[in-house]
Amino acid sequence: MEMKNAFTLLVADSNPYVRSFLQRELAGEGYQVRVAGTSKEIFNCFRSGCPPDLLVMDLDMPVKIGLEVLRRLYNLVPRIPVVVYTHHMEYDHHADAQGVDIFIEKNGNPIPLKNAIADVLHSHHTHCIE
Amino acid sequence: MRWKGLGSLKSRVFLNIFLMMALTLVMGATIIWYGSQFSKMVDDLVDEDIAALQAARGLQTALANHKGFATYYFLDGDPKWLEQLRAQRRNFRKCLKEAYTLDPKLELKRLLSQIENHYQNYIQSKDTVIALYKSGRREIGEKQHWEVRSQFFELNDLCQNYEERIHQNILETRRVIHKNFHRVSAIALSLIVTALVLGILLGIMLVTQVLAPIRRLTKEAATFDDSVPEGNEVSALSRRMRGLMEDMDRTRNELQQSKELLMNSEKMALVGKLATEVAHSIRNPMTSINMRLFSLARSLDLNKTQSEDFDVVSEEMRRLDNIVRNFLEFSRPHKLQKQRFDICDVINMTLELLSYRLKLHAVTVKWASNNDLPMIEADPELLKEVFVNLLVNACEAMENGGEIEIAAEEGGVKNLGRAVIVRVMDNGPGMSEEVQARVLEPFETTKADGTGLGLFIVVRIVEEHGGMLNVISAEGEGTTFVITLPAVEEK
Repeated sequence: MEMKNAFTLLVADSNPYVRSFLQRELAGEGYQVRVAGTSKEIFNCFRSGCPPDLLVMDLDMPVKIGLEVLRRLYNLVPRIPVVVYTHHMEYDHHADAQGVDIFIEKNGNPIPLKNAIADVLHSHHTHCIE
Repeated sequence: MRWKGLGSLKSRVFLNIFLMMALTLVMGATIIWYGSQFSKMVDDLVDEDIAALQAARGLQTALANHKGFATYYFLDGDPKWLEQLRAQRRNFRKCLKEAYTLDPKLELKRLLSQIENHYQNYIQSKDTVIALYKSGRREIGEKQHWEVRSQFFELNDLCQNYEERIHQNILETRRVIHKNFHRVSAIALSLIVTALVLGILLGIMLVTQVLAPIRRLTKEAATFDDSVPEGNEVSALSRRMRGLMEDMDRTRNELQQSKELLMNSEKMALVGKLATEVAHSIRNPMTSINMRLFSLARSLDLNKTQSEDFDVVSEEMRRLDNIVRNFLEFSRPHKLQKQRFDICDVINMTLELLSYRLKLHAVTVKWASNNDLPMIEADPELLKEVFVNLLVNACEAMENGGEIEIAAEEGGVKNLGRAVIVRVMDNGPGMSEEVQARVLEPFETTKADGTGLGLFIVVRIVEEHGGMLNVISAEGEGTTFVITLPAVEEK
């Protein structure tokens, strides 16, 4: 639990109910969870004093589509771990999504997402230690 | 090209024909006019000059006949000679009168009056001689007779002169007729030459401007269509024109049809786009609901009825999700990843993939790989989807288990040529004709929890590969799906 508390996640989704659900579920796992409803909020969060350790985002984002958000985000913070949680699994191989750690299909069950977040954090963490 | 400046072909042809007609008219009119002139001249010649000539000869003859009577009377004193002489004189007067009635020209008239005067003198002299003979003064009479004789010869000369003049008149008329004839000939000849030239021009115009283009068109038509026979170019061309018009009608119909088809497919594309948008929009709130249901399921403590309600809600949500997911999967544009392979490999892989499911439905599969099949060029993943769909459909159709037979063979199909034909046969309940008619349409399903997209996707994949899907079925006799895919042509 102590380890996990060290991580701050940013959950980006256009649907407020999905955001609140994921915030609740992931907070239950012991993460610090912040949420963003638009791409602007995502960038604001990364430009703030303490940027998140991992981004969970849907590709259906208002204002700017998710892929463009990803491209700009990698310019800003190149090594940020990202879990794309979406219905649009077909963008898996898209050029702008090359830096994404994993694509998880969005459905009612949050367990695959939780597992993926844990795996991604773990691998990044060990990688950083090495 | 040199005709260009003279207006349209029609006006040129008409001008030419008009000129030829005008020439013919001029020529005819000229010949008729000269003919009438000629005939008038001949009439004049016959009526006046010939008659005058005859009168002149008559005068000479009559004069010649005066000779001798006075001498005979002198010899035998018989008064019958005097009687005959009077008759000859009457005759001469008659001829002279006739000559006057021919209305001669001034010169001839003068000659005639000279003749008349001389004749008058001659007769008087002769009568004096005869009177001398009668009175018996023979010697004086004989002497006078010689003088009368010289008067006679003078008169005879005058008559000959008169005839000569007439003869010259006839020659003059003949000369005029000849001159006119030469003029008519020259005019007729020039008109004939002009008409010939115009005819040749008309001929050249028809050949170069009408016949040659028609022949060229016919030849060109013949290169399009071998059935046009040699022979009359115009009829061949009109036949070809009729053919072209029929072709045009047919093409116009086809164009109209394809236009309608295009409009229809554009409409369908728009509807599809809208439907995709709607499906995407629906999917988000549905996921949100599913999340909450998941969350509820963890914590709720429900009684039996509530639990059943909750399960139905969850199940129906799952079904909704499936429908939307299938729809989106179907509407997503994708590129065929074509490879060359043996279709039997795909069937084997599919059977392996579905072995658990087949066992669950108590379905046995009868399938013998055919090693002699030609290769096909297709997307193996998509073809796998085709067979998965067909097999799952068959399993679900046979509620109490059954048998599926798969057979693959090579065949020749109209429009496709060499093809691979795969039959998937089940011994399930089969389908009525009504159901068969709709089974390949989207959103048609006989199953309570079906999405109605499975077979539609199968049809689409097969058609994308240039093949076709047919259904053979009858109620109670099972169903056979026939997939026909074009085979790779061996070089």
